Amino acid sequence: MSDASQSTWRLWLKPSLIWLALLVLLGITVGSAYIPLGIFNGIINYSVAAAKAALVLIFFMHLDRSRALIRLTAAAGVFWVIFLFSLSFGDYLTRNWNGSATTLAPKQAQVGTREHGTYPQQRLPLVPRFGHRD
Amino acid sequence: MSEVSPVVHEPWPSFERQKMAVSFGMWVFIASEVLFFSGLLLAYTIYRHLDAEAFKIASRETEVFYGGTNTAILLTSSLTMAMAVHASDHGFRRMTIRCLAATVAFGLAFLVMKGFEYHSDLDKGLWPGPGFPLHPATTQLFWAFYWIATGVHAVHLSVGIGIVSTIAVRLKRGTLLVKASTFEGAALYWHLVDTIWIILLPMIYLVGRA
Repeated sequence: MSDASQSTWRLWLKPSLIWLALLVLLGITVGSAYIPLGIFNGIINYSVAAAKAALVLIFFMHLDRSRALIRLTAAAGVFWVIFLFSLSFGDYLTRNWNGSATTLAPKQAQVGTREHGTYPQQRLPLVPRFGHRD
Repeated sequence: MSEVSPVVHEPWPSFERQKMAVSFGMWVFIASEVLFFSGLLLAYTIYRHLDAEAFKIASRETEVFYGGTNTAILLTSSLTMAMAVHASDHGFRRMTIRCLAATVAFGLAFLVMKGFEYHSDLDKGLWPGPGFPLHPATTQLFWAFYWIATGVHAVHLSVGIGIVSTIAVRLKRGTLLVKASTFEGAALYWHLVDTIWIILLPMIYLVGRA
């Protein structure tokens, strides 16, 4: 019995440390959000979120002792996110030819609301205009 | 239900292979869930990029107390879920049942807190549509994301609570053996729901607080 309870106690050790680390990271991310750090607020928040997710994925979801097949499957999910974001922002961050993508014009932002009708007053060109056209 | 499921099922030649299949199947499912949620996250990121100021105004209205407390609750539920799998690996039946029950309790606590939070949000009239209290109108995009993301997450969590309580009851009744590979599969799903919340926390609650 004492053997069993001792090994039960030992089982808790590592997961509890990871849980403690997760709570400390939670404290850091919520606490730092109230300190004005400019761009670093966002950097800290998302880095901490990534660190917390990594702790859960690696230790609680056992990627630390998984076979290559499982790790590749997990990585496939992450690659998908990378492709989705980099290709989408490759478009949005470079599409400043009509001015609509850099910031939402106030009128464009209110399209569909009651006070501004269903359609924008002036439609923006949907295709880039290279050079001068008659 | 009275029939006891064997530990190794058809067509697996060994328990090792079956466990591998459970993990692989769950991870393929998780990758598809990542695909599903990252569409939402991408929409959020694009609109935040287009109108950062509105997202700050909108996010300041969220209840960071509920968000933070719920994160701590879910992180703790992940600990008890991980411990349930550890205990089942070692054949500790009673400990597995207790850890699963604790996980369900934490999951329910999360939903109760979420209910209080939704009540407070609705009291403030933060449901996108005519007469929305915040300006500019882009703040409604943030709140649309809030309702969809937290709502879909709550549905996932409710499914998790259903799965975990089912296997806990079956283990208690003796229709599921403590060494079954079911626990690992359920745990992977539970941790996924936790991970999604970890990502949602800074996007919803921590924008523009400083």
